[in-house]
Amino acid sequence: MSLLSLQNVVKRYPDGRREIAVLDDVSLEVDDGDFVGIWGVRRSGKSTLLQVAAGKEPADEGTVRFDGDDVTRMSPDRRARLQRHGGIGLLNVNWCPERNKPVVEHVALPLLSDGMSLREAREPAWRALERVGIAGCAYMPADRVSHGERVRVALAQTLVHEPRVLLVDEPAVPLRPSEGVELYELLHSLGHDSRLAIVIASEDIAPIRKARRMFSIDAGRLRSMDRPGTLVQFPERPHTRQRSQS
Amino acid sequence: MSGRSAGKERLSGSPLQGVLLALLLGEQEQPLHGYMLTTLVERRLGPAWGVTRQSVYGALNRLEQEGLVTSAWKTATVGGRGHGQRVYAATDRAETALSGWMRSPASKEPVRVELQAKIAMSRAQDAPQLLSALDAYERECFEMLRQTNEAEVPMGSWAGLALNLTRMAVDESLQADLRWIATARAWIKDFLAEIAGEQLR
Repeated sequence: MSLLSLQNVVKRYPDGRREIAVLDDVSLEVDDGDFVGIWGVRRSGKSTLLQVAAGKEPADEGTVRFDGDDVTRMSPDRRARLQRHGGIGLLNVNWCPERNKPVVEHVALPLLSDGMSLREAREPAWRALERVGIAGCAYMPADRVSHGERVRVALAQTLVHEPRVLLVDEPAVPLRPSEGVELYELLHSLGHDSRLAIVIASEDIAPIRKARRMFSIDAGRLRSMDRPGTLVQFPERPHTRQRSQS
Repeated sequence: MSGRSAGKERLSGSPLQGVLLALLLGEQEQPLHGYMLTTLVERRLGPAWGVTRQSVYGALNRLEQEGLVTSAWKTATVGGRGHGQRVYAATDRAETALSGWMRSPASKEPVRVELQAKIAMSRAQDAPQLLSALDAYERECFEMLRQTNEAEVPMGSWAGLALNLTRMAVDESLQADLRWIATARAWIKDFLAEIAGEQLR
């Protein structure tokens, strides 16, 4: 059984007098530790696909299952819980930092929403920052960190709930090319080290070049770009630059 | 090959000659044979260049004729049996020729993609075949992307910077192809839908 499974998903949005299918009969299986890359141009359906997979948008047809449970039939409360506590994490790289709030408190925010005290939440937030290599920035004001570090703060905030699937939408948008390369290697090593399943959707091919399975999405149709019958080996763990101790 | 004054060496022909000269100058301690050079070229430039052993030997011959490379026969022992190998080394004039190549302006290569030629010459009734051809071309682009994943060089070194820039050039070109495929597919499908709508009316 796949960890995350989309079967014949259709999502429509109104477009003037008619409706257009933003996702058109999309099926996708994601296993534990998988690394899936989805390439598509703007308005091809990438972001909608991730929103539907994360349970943030309902599908009009088809099913979305996480660990066997039908996400489409869950109550809103249960769906919200799915986005926490070992469920599905959707990375948002375009977050706005609060002035003078330390990075570690930003990362702890989702845990505070769950009712944890700041004192309790600091430890897991610190661990998440270590995982993304910026523990050294933990007590820096969040609005003072670089763009590259800001994306890592967002990543730590998503990882603080220890998701089993990480969905990433356009990770490179705010980054310089060299920062992007470091981020992709970090994402790759995160999946490799912890069996975290990662799905990256991007209109840039660099973030998905190391994906174990590749797809192209065009006008809401998802196409596998894998060679039929070929077992693709998980690449070796790449060199990653750890900045936590610097 | 004498008779050329120092400082006037120029590389004629393909950029492959410059690449081979750079590799041979980087390995001055040890002459290299053609197979090893082909492997090194593939590693440094990636599969997108489509370098063949034949093209490497052709470029080495031209370099030798221009006096920038010398070759010699060497006996190598493999599995207890000796066999002859032709090994190549850069001459004293190679360094100047390589500097000249680095300085010389690079020309824009002509676009000669077969699929573009097919579309240019197609008729409306060829649309279904063109859609299949676009799907196949898209798969080829992804296959090439997969093949460019081989080498890993740590960030922060010149070799890493050069490799990442070369890879980025291939990425940008593949991305442009993939975007063009998406546009071509959409335009062809829109056109077919319009024709089908007119026939229904």
